[in-house]
Amino acid sequence: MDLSKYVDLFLSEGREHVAELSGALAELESAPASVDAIAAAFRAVHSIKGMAAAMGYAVVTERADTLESALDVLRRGEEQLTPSSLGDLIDEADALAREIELAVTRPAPGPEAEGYATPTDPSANPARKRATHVRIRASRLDSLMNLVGEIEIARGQLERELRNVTGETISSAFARTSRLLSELREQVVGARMVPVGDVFERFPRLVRETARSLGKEVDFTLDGAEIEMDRSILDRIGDPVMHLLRNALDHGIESAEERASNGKSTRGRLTLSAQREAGYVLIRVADDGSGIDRDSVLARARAAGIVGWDTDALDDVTLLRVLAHPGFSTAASVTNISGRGVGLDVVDAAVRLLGGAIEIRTVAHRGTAITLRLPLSVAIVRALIARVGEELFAIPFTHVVETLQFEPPAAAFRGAEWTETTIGDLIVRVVMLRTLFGIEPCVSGRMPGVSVLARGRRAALIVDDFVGQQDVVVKRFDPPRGGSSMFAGATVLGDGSPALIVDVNSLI
Amino acid sequence: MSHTVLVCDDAVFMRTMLSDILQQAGFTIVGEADTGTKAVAKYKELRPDLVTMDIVMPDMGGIDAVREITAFDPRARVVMCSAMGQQALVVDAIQAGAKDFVVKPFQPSRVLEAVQRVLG
Repeated sequence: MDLSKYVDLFLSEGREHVAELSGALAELESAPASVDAIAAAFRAVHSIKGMAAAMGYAVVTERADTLESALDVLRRGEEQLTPSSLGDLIDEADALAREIELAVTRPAPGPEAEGYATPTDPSANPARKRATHVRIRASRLDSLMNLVGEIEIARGQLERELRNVTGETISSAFARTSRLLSELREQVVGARMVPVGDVFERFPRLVRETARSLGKEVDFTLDGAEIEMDRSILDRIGDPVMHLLRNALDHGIESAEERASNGKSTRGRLTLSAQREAGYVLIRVADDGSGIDRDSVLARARAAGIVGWDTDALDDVTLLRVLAHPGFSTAASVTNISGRGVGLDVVDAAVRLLGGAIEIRTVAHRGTAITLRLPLSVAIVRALIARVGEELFAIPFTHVVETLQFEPPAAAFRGAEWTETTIGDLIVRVVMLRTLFGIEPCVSGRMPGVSVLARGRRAALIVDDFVGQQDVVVKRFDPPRGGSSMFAGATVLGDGSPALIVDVNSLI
Repeated sequence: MSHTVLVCDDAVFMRTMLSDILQQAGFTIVGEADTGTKAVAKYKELRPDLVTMDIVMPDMGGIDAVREITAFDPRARVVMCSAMGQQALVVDAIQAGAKDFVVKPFQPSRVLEAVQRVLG
């Protein structure tokens, strides 16, 4: 049996199972007793084992078998997971992932081996070419990125100190150091970048299969597979994107008969595209299907109390808010209407966790496009630095629409709470950061604020003043026990002062 | 007319390989399922001559799926396709109504032999 045609499938599906495995192990770190996570890890390893055995990859099979046995003991409840045994499992999983990649690069014995070019032509020698790549643990790249961040902070402090020092040699050496540092940062960020195609390559097949099982005819296009983004972000958006594609096939694109009766081509069109846009990557899933039935979503949203009874139409922004409302879209009865938002809350949560945002556009009978706006890199975000009281806060640009001056209503001066304001024609919620952060409120005639957009909603965050904008290195921290945090992390600004990074999503 | 087969495995890789083996031997693959629940639903919908069933699948495992399929159709012909190390479960599977089993990695000849025997 010729196995060579299965190599690509083995690798892409093997990687998927590796991703599921690491996801499950990560979950076990926080919930060591999770039966579901153990079962998921077991299934992933089990599938790898079966596939590797079929391919004749003995080392992978053996490693998978060892790991499977260890997981099986946990699955049966014969042993409890301890931090050290979890550490061993994670190491084993890493080793397994490495072996999978190695197994497919080893030249197959037989006629293929003779096809190698002569060693006198190094550029044509595949073995030599391969040697220019080394495999680096992702955690090592993380530490490099962290160090670059620390050096940037030290550079900022140095810059401040140097203001009081004169001397041409010093300032030119400093300028050179700064330039080299930003080059270094670019290189480190670049080292973490992989083309989105690495994860998206499995989608054409998935779309084909899903379309076939639904009995629909669909032309699928994948654009921008070469666009690069941070591996750690890319790994986390595979599932959400798959979800959006399934939704589009299942609920978006109509059956051939329905399309024909509406005067559309019987073949549906589905596009997955990636595109760079100033510091972000936009991932878009667009179909030319029936669009989302706003009326039925509205009716359900009213019934569920997500919007008031006075809401008589859903614009794109409100529609997204309703669809991303936890639980709304997963309600079983929604799957049969063209509500289309099935599980959109899950996608929304995954994207938010990465510091990204979702946008939705839908036109009845023309189709739906859902865009995930994701930062290029998780470690650094561009942020607006604002002062509130004595403290500095960073507001990530992902959510900033514009900075404005807001006029509080007269009532606010008499101590009444200021809850709403207008931006253009929109009435939006006001969030006074002073009040929120427990600082003595202070109202004046015109107050600086920022118009933000998150989870499909606009709001006005009122600050004391703006200090500037800069790239901040995000140091994540866990939210306080039992509650969600208003902050997505902390950073140290150029002058060495700490600043909390505001989690705009949590304020809206 | 060639026999119809429903292939159930959570790995696309395995489904592809099994389908290739069976198709080359003249079978018609009428459906694929990647979970036990879907396997049962597909069986009821497609009524294939034969089912190949993996044991470890998400949502509903293969053994429970066999049990449901044979409860629905006592004459259902199911061949278990399990990986090494699952031999103990094969006994459960046979008790649940499976007619034969093949251990991964698949030898095409072994797969076809089991399938022919079950259909014969």
